[in-house]
Amino acid sequence: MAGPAENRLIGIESGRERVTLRSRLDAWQTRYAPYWLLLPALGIIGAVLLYPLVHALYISFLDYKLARSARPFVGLGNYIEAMTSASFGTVLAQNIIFAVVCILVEFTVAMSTALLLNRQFRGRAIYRVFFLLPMLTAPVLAGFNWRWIFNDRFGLMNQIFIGVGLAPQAWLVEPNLARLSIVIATVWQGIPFVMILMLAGLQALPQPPFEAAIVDGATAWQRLRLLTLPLMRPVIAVALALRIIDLFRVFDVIYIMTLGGPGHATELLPFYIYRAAFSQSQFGLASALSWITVFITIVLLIPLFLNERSGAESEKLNA
Amino acid sequence: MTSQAQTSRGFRFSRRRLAEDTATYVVLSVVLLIMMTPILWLILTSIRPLVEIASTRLILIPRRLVLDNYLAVFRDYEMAAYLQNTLLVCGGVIATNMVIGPPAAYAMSRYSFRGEKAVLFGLVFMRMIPLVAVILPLFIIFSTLRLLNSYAALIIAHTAFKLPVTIWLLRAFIADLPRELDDSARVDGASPLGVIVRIVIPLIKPGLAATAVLAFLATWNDLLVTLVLSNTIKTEMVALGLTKFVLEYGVAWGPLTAAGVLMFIPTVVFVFIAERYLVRGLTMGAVKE
Repeated sequence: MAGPAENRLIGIESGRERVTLRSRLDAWQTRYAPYWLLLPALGIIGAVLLYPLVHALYISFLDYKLARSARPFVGLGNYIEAMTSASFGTVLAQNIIFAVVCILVEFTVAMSTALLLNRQFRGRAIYRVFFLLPMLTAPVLAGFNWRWIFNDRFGLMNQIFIGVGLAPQAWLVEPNLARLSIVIATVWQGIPFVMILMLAGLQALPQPPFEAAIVDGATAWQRLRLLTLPLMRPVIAVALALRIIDLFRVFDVIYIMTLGGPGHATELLPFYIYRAAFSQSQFGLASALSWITVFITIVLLIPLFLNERSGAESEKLNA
Repeated sequence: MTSQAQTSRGFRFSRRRLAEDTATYVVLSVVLLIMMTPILWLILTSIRPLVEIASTRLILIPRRLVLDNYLAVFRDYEMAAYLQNTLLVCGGVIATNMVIGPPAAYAMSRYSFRGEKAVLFGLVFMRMIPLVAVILPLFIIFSTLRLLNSYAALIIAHTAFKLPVTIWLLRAFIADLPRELDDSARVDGASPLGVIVRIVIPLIKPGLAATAVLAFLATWNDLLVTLVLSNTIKTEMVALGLTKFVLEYGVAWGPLTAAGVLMFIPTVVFVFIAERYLVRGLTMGAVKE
């Protein structure tokens, strides 16, 4: 790329040498093409994602507090502090339960909706597009939407409760109701995501087995259980993997709706880390917590990763 | 395929089919109504007079259409600045992704080279890590470089966060192109960059559009990056702007919902534009539609 000027310089001396240099440059370009094509992308990813991640690993071994300039090495001290603190155990357990509940709700509702949307009927495209809207709503906005609906004085939920003669509830104040509110706000965005993946999976299913099953008199339930779900395995694995990842990254909804409260009732890992870092200025501890979260995510994904890969490959075969 | 199989069945059991269709409509409409409620409620609240917002009784349709809240977000709050900042950063992120992404995606899909597997895995891994884990050291780095509260910091951070998805998605689109196209051009002596600019990019325009839309929405919707990397009106983005409607004595729900509606408009527009490619984009190309 920086060639022309140099080539011209050499060109004054001898024509033959110019050709050699040019062809050598071309050969070099071709040989290392993938590397320099990737260089800008990997450079910026390396600088902004990979390096900070490694830097966080380094900080996690220090007693790093923002206000103090001394940052002594403490080895695994932060990790031990994190693992043995009661609040971390609570938050971790809470995040796992939260993820399990959300996944159960999301996949049940999404699969049922996808099966219905997979039928041929007029106006299907319109239903589909509208179903997508919650998923692409900013999580901040989703948080405010639900915080407004669950508002204890003027919220829609309590207006409906009063309207039908029930006692209004303190949705975001009572721990279990607050947890329920967080789950509702999260699955509201998760359901469309899982649904659209399931629908894509359903539409890619081969037809002959289903026709054969109908001829053989299999009921709709049997077809779903014995054909649809097993054939959808790769897509379900991808959806599951992505949801697990994202349910351990939920931050905005918590930040907007409850700030982890009441007490620690709705605190999830990302918000817990954020608080350790930016409210308590415990950068070392927060970095250790970050790495523990990364580690947990990886462990949860190991059983799925092989599945995901075989899923991607069978998808390639279909295409 | 599906349509043929189902219509032929439809002719045979047309009454049953009618009943099934009706049931489908009813169930889907109910689910859709529930899913749309928060959005509808947001819009309705934004056009209500204050007496109706502060009501413990359910008032479904506003008695009077009021646009005060929309005026207030520009007059009493800094919505104009938030929108301007966000658009600038989004523009920057799309531009960098569209320049840096295609060559990388082309390399990933057309060459086999040493370290390819590591790069592939690395890109997936970067999509997996919790942002919080990166944002703290990034805060330290940017503050050392005195880049906090700058567009540059926001654009650089967002660019890196979106690039893994961009590369994966474009890679899937390029893999769909017949190899002969760019192979023959390369045999004719075109450089890899020339092939990308003249042959690949024109053929993957839908993919580029989908990628740009996803990068835009992810940046537009982001809270955490702007929350940590900016704390002045000069660079605060719209998601952080929404939190400014939470005042000491309570939430200004009228202006907040109006601001929310404004923030929601691009989402609606882009869902309709890029709907066809969303599945691919959201799964990094793993599931195709």
